[in-house]
Amino acid sequence: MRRILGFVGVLVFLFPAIIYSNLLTNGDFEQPLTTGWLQEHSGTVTIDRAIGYDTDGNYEACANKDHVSGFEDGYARLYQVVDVSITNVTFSCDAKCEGYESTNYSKNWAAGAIIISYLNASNSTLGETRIYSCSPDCPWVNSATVHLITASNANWNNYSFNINDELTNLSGVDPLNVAKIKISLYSAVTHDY
Amino acid sequence: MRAKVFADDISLIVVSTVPTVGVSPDTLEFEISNGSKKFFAVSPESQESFPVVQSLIMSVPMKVGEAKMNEEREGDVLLLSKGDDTLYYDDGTRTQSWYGANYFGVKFNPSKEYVVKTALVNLYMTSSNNCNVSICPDVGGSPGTAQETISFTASDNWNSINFTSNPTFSGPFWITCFVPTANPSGPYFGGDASGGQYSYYSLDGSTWANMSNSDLMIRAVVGPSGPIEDTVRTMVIKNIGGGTLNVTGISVNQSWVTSLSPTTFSLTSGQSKNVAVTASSIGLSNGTHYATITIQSNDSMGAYSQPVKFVVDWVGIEETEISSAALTFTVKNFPNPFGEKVIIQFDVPTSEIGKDTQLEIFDISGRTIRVFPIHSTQSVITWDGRDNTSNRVAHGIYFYKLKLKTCVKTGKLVLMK
Repeated sequence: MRRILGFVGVLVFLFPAIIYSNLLTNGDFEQPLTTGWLQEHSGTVTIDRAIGYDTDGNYEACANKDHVSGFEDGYARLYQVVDVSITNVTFSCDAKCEGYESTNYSKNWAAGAIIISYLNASNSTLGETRIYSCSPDCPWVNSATVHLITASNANWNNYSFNINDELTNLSGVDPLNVAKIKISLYSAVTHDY
Repeated sequence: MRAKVFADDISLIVVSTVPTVGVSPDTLEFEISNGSKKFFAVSPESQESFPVVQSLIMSVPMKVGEAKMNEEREGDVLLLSKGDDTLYYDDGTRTQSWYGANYFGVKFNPSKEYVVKTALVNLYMTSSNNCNVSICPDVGGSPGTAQETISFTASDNWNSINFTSNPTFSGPFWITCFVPTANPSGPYFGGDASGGQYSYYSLDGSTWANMSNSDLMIRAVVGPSGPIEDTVRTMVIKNIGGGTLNVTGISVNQSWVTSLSPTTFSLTSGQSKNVAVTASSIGLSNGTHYATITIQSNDSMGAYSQPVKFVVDWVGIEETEISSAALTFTVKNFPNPFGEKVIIQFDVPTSEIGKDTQLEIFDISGRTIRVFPIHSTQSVITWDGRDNTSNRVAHGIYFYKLKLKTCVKTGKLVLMK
């Protein structure tokens, strides 16, 4: 009996405080989107979850803004905001992004993105990382507060990085001021003709 | 046109259980600049009324060659450490010498709290005499009970008398002198050619009368009563990792960072602490100075280094005022006080005019208001009371500085509403 107790004690000593917990709620979308996630949009959009968006048989989520009428701009956003006391956090996501525009008119563009927004305690956005795919005339550019990561291709891909490391790409964001992180599935189309 | 994004298995995982030091801002910056070292005292807004004292106060002509006091005055000031200020109302040129009273005083009205370190008193001597100087609070417009009185044996030109009791004032104070003047043996009390609202005399040391036609040459060398203004910054240390961050010491490699507080504390994950960093410019030369603050902790990456920058930019108006004994020239400005414009006329040798010759207008804090380049044949400048951006400046006291090749001349201008 003493040997067993001693053995357990050694295990506790070796792994005292490592707790891997997902700060996001319902990040795998196996629960309805009303669990953990919020929505906002303009125009006609589709925000849903289904088991057919990939082949693994589990649920995935989609934020879809299609061009459904001649002049309708708009966006769809499915998002969740979490408090973070530190930024030594690993972000991971399986995603597929699309942004397609066929008119070749320079003021029309479309983009689909996973957006990681860094907020201060007052919910002001300090900066963003955008994993995205877009049409050629999308005006998004890198800056001190925006870091763009182009989707590898039109398929499903895994994106994973440490937030502390990612913030080194955003010189305009002080990591000490980051109090919240907002994760968004975001799609938008803009017309000007 | 379409835009879609699909996602699955999104996670944000806290991975750190290791305490990590995070510090903001990236660099602590200090700056002390223009006008803080020495400045002309601010005039009191209110005018006190004094009883008329029936006494004969006369000026006697200066001896040729004794009117220029700049070198001696500069020498006195330069003996003092940086961070001291000299308060004065006179223009630095002794044009009148006064006798007929035994007590003379100047009321100073600084804008912030100071320790008065030294009195500078200008006398014109033909014979030596025992005198004393007192530092007094202002009580209803007159000098109150002296906080300290120092005896000295008067000598010609500037006398420097140090106070030892660290008299400290946050408002008006007086420096008064007992100088038993006599004609024709002297000594005489030095005064300039105009002004006078800050200078007073007394026959008995208790009833004081204003001198309306001269600023007495009494000056106060003052220092900061505590840490010099604008030298405390806050450094924020945050545990941006996990676990508990134990800060075991904070140190710095330069002595001009005089205080760090606190230097030991513990922070849980996400918790932050403000650390006050105090710097002093005393002893620092003009320029940019760097230091490194080192934070010792149980951060697995070891000690954290935080850079500190201190920009010192002392510019005293009179600091650059020098005169050449071999050079004589005149500068006149009229009218003074002035309303719309003032004419500054100068008669200088053409050999003193160079490509960098100019006339500058300063305010009482030493800030440059207007710059006039001077050409070889020019002898008159008209200032319309506007700054370099053509905006009309506020009424008050201003100074011109005529910068020639080998010397500089300053003077006072009073702009009325």
